[in-house]
Amino acid sequence: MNSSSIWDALPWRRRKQLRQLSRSALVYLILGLLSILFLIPFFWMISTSFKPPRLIYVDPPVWIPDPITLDNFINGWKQLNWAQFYQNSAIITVLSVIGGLISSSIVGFAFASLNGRGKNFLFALLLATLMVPAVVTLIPTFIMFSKVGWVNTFLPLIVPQWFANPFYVFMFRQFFLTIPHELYDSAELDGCTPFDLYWRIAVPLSGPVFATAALFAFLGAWNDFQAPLIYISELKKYTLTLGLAMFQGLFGTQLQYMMPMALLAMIPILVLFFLAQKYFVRGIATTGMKM
Amino acid sequence: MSETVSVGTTVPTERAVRYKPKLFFIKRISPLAAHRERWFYLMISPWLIGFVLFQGGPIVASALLSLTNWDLVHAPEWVGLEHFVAMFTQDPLFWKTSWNTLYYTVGSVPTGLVLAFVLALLLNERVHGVNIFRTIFFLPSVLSGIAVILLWGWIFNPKFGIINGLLATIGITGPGWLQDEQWAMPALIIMSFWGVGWMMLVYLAGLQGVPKELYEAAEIDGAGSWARFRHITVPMVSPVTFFLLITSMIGSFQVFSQSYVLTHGGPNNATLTYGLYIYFNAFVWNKMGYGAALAWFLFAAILVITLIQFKLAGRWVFYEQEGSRN
Repeated sequence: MNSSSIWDALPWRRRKQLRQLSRSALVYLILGLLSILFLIPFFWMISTSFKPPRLIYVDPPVWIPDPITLDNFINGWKQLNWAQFYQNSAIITVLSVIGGLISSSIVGFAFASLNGRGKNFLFALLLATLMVPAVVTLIPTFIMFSKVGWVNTFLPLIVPQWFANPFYVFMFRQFFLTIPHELYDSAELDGCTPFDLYWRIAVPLSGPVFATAALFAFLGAWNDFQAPLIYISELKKYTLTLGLAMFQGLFGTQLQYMMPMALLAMIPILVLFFLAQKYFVRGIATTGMKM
Repeated sequence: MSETVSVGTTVPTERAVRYKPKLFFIKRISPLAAHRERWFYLMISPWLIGFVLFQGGPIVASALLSLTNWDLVHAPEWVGLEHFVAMFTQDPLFWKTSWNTLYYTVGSVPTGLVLAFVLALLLNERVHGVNIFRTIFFLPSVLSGIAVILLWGWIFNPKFGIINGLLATIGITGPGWLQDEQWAMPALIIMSFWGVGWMMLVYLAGLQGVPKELYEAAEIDGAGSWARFRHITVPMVSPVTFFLLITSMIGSFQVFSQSYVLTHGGPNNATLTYGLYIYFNAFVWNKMGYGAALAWFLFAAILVITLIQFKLAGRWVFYEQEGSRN
């Protein structure tokens, strides 16, 4: 294959090393180029946020802001009641995450470690619900919540999360299956109820999966747009996502305020991401996502 | 514990142990098993109740609703299958939005899967600093949401955005993107590729689960790197591909926020997706019945397509024979 005589002259080991080296170089090159592509949007967002408006509406675009200014943050913050939106999103998200984790982990534990007639059928049903598109249940659920007077409250956004999310149940079950059953047996002889087994044995061993599910639940609630759009109508109950979307409608051309506010909305996710990254990368790997 | 043992000891022959319970004791269980079963049902009750209230119930309700006219104010009026007939025969927007959604799915899902797979393969190479790259690729997918959508709207800005700015540097006049009927949907598709990170992570987990011995054995048998990739890597991660294909298709059939926020379905309905059309019908025009009919058709379509996928899966998805667990 190799016509090069220099190549042929090299000893086998040296050739292998060179091949390895050139392979790594190629991998770095491709990874580097792709990383730049993935980072450009971030860079553009940060650049726009710190730019004086006269540098935003220019053609060709200016990449590095000079001078750097915080005016966009300050003025953007004043346009709407962002503190209130933040607070609303935080309340909804925290309560959703807590409810989602408690309920889903209990259900996941039952499916992993307990038995009952009909269990296989119920688990198949649970997996099937993963495939039901949310829009199908949206209209009747809205009607139900409007009948009980929950429209324009946070309740429709929080309460359903307390009834176990099938996706997290599946994740928890996969993880709990890896806990050796012998751990439960002796505790059971000591008179522990299944709930004790869950609370005292399974939960303390399951840090990574809780971190993974918590991140997903947090993202789901924090980024949710459709449900708040449908249920919340009063401005003071708006979530961050609603505020941002309204911003787009109200001040469509005032991008200098939109980018910094969008950046601020991302910060809690960024913090959580970097705090929990170690756990959920492991969590995703161990739950395996096997179907 | 003693109960389960006594069942075994009272039955005299081995033959009876094997057959009798299956034939005669299908529904009888020991008190201990009954105790555990009570706990099982107690502990899954949050999901069971939630299923009835928020999933099973609404699905049935939505089926009934699709047979009525209802604006939430006046009493519902029974119309039978009229909505479904109207959808197919009198509603050009139904066809338009179905087409748009299909366009988005075909444009975003396969390419997204390939991109995620390539990224995972690169990250699976044992080079230094892999964790930094992993973070870079994964991060955008967790940031999904309105903030990201607004960011991309700005990136695609025809006059001051960076895409057209970059195109201009190589002498190309970029299109109007979200303001251009032809380019609006491709813009949304390009945007979706920024969020492939989580699929990449799932792929990476799959790749790391492929036993090293397989590669070693193949190498000894003289398989080149392409052959190893084609005949080991691809089939071994095919269950992951299948899982991602199904979930991302179901997701893309419901795509909503991007077009709601950036274009409101325009220009000239070019980005009016099926999910957005359901929303307009039900929550803007107060046509709950018609909205439910549209939603039910989507449900049926997803069900059929998913079943076909499962049927076809036998041909290309490879399931390893695992040691007996459970």
